[in-house]
Amino acid sequence: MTWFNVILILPFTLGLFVLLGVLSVKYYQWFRALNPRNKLRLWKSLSRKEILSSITEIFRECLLHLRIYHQKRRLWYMHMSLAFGWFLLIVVGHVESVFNTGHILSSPWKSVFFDYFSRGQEATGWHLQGFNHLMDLILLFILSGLFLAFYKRINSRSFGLKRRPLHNPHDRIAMLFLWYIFPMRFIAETLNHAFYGGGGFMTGSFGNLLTLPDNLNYLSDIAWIGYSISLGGFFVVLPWSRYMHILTEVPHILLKNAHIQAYQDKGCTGFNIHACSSCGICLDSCQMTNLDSCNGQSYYFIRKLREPSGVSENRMMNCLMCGRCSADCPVQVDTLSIRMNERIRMNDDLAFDYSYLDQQGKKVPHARIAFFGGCMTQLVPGVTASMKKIFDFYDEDYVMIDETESICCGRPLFLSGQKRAYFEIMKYTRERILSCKPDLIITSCPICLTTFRNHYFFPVPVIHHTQYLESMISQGLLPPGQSDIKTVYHDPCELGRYLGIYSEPRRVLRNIVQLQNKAYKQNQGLCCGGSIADLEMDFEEKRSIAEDAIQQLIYPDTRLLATACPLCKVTFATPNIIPVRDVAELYAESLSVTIPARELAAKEALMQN
Amino acid sequence: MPDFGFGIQDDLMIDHDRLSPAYEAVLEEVPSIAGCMSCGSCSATCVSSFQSGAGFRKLIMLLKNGSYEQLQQALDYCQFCGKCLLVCPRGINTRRAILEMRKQFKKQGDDMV
Amino acid sequence: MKKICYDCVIVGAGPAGLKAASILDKQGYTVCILEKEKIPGGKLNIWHELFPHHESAQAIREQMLAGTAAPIHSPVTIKSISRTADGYCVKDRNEDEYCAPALLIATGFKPFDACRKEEYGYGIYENVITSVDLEQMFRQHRVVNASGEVPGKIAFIHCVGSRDIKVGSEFCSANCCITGIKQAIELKKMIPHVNICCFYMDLRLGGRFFEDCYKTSQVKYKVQYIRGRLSETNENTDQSVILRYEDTLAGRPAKITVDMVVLLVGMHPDPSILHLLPEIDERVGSDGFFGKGKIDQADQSSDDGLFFAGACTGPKSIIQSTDEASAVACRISLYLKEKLYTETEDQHARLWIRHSG
Repeated sequence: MTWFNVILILPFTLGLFVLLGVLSVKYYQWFRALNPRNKLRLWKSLSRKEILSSITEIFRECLLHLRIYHQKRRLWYMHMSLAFGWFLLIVVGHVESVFNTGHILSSPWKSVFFDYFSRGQEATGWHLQGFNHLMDLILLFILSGLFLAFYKRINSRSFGLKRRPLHNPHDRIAMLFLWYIFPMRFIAETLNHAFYGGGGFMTGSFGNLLTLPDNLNYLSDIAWIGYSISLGGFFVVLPWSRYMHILTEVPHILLKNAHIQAYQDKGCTGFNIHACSSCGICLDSCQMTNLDSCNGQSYYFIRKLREPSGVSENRMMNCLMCGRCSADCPVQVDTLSIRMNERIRMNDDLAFDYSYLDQQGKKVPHARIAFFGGCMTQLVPGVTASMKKIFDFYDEDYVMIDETESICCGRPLFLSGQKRAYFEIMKYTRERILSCKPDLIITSCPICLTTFRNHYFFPVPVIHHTQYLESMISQGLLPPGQSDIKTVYHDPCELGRYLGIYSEPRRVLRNIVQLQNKAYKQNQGLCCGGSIADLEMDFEEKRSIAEDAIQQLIYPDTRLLATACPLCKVTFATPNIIPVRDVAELYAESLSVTIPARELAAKEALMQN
Repeated sequence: MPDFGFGIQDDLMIDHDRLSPAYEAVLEEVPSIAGCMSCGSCSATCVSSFQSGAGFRKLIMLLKNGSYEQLQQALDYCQFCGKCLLVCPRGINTRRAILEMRKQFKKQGDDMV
Repeated sequence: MKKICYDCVIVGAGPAGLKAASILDKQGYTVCILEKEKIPGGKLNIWHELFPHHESAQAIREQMLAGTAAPIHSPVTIKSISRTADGYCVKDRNEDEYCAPALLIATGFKPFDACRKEEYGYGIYENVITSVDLEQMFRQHRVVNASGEVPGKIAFIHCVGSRDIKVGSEFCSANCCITGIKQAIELKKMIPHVNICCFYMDLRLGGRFFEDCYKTSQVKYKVQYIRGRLSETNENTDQSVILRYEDTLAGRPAKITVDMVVLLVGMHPDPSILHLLPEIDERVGSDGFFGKGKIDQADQSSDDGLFFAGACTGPKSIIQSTDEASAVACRISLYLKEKLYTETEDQHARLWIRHSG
């Protein structure tokens, strides 16, 4: 090993050591920070079949980025060529050096700087020649992706990204190093072949084209050092930049497939936020991106979490928590849990006093079905009036628990981070609902339903009213007769993305109105903007989100917008663009029960609009 | 001053010559609270006001008048449901204001002055 | 399919349109009025008594109709309004054309659709009605609730559809408070033992004698006024309505059970004419009414022959509508004089000779 060789491999080796060292420390810290229950889950999952799906997912996502493929093709090619190309470069390079030296465990430098170390040696045999060409092909592949990356900096719209993500200084430095690596390799190899011959179809040919006097052969050495410095520099900066995702995605996928959520788990959160590649796809998914004042999208939020300064309160509170970013994320970062963690960390110590809830002592009559409308029910009395009509029509033994007063399930408290307060309210509300000893609980509010399913643990089934209506239809209990009013159905975020209830409301609507819906991927439904999880936006901003959403949902001849959530109903009704009805109201109308004269007039006015 | 045998209860009278620093602090985070016209829509719809007697309108009033002790007690009753936000005719971001007030009074006592 | 030319075409046979027509045709101009409903009179057809002196709307209507000889075409559905070199041409659905150098829009207002405030239960609870519905009951001299009984307690809710960002109308309709007081007094005259409660945010009583009405309603008729805006209504099993609110002056939560709730709906702009008028965007204010609300704004519309008068330029009482209509009629008259007449002098007097054609 000559002294020059040492200088050559030093930057690379140092960088690699630093990288591996920092990674080990960080990963160890995060693994240790996992909740004990999650740790157990992880160990169990490693010995099950899930490990196979994890491995295939690692291959499919970390290398081939298939999720991006399904969304934006050009972006996919750019990311994939760098990821997969570099992977191939390393693996094939290693195989090449094994073939050449005959040792299976050749030192990493031999494969990384292969052309340098094999200077002057003629490549004998078609397979060794073949490797030269293969390596050149892979390098070309990577360089094509790199070219696209340059172009994306100038014109991101052509990649389908409406907004170009703004990177911070760490990321910019890391990006520069990364962008230098492969051109430097190209230059180093070309110059190498210019002076020492050999090489594949690309570097060899370019090398032959350059006719340089031999006394300039130090240029080749300098280029190799440049290559080594780029590599080493990149490795050193990597743990503090977005490229940490390259390696962190692997444990992240393992955790995800073991069904470990980042909620209240520092370790899993650590893996999650460093698995984010800052690709910017979530900026387009976020409906707040169109509002100039918004800075709360997941992209910025997660990046700020990686920085020591942390996240400001405004940024943290400015999120609809609709889940669109997480649905589109190619890495499936658990953005909702991470944001909840931050909110709980900041707001869980606020004071509260709900002892007054205990003094209610109201006697609720026993009934088979307990209907819980939710606190917003009072603002949309049409829904409860319709459910009453429906229950009476089917002769159900029911009680409406919150008919004359508002009771809160507590989820708005939870979403703001005040977890202890939420559990306090939950006690009282749960007792209230169970006091009528029901066999079935039906609610018309998806927000309440989410929290019932997550935390309330009722001893009886609790369903959404659209599921009840759908079961009535399945039993053939809906009288025939369908209105031909053209209707579009809107998936509420909590009912759709959180609970996975998509088909029941659609089935109900198909039987009572003329449903016209664009076929879209289920978890890409739009948020109405009325979110109780967003605390920053003012009324005008929320209304503009609602208006945009309506325009995207309806067709020119749509007469009615149907939804299954009281908050969505209030939010969509405010801009007064199109009449909004809950599924229950449409069902009650179709039952042809006696409608008061004024309601009929209102309905006729609606038809004439 | 001679002692006439009874004291002047000066906490009964609101001194509008004094500014309320907590109000200024909340106003900075949530500028829309300046538009409150005390109509009472929020209290009418409030989930907790009928048992606890405190709706958002009252919170703003107590905040403005500097009655921090009463405010701190009243703040504890809020269930954060968001109905007041939905009905406010002036479009005030009530929940953010309540969160901000809760944070301002996280520490004990009236030493916010 | 005919084309008739006038000096001025007036769209809307409400108080403003009729008043303008009466002034213009007394000055010798030829005027016609186009009305979209079957009978003329505008909202005078749905009111029973008018504030502040409880004058009969029917009588005022007859008076105003008698005041003008202009032909009133009704019902007319306007298909298009186009601008020509001479003025405006209004085409209706039957392809009849009405042309004139001056066009006066007096289309009035639309009462707020109370179904939009779903929380009040209009259209859902039987005993929740609007002030317009109540006025129809007055015209039929029969005020009963949904079960056909005479109500014992009635609540009036102020500011429904006004001063409310949630329905997109932040303006004050200025006339609902006095309407509520007037209707409360009428109810008390009709049903002496009825209890009436009015729930208000502010009482806006700017017109002449409005404050007298308020005092009369309190002192003579014992109407109760409670400062507290309603957010929700609820129905009992007997269809009476429970109201929960905060009495803001007392600072305490309160409740009341009533047999009937009357929503005092606001005056909203009528959008039906907007899409027909050419190049109208600069003439519409941010609240949806015509004009910008500036001082002496009638002057600003005088250079192109398009005029606006009445409730379509902002919430107004009938007195204010007719006053504005008179003012705008004079503007129209000046405009037409310049357009249609040339001035000459002879030894006795100044003469204006009308152009032919």
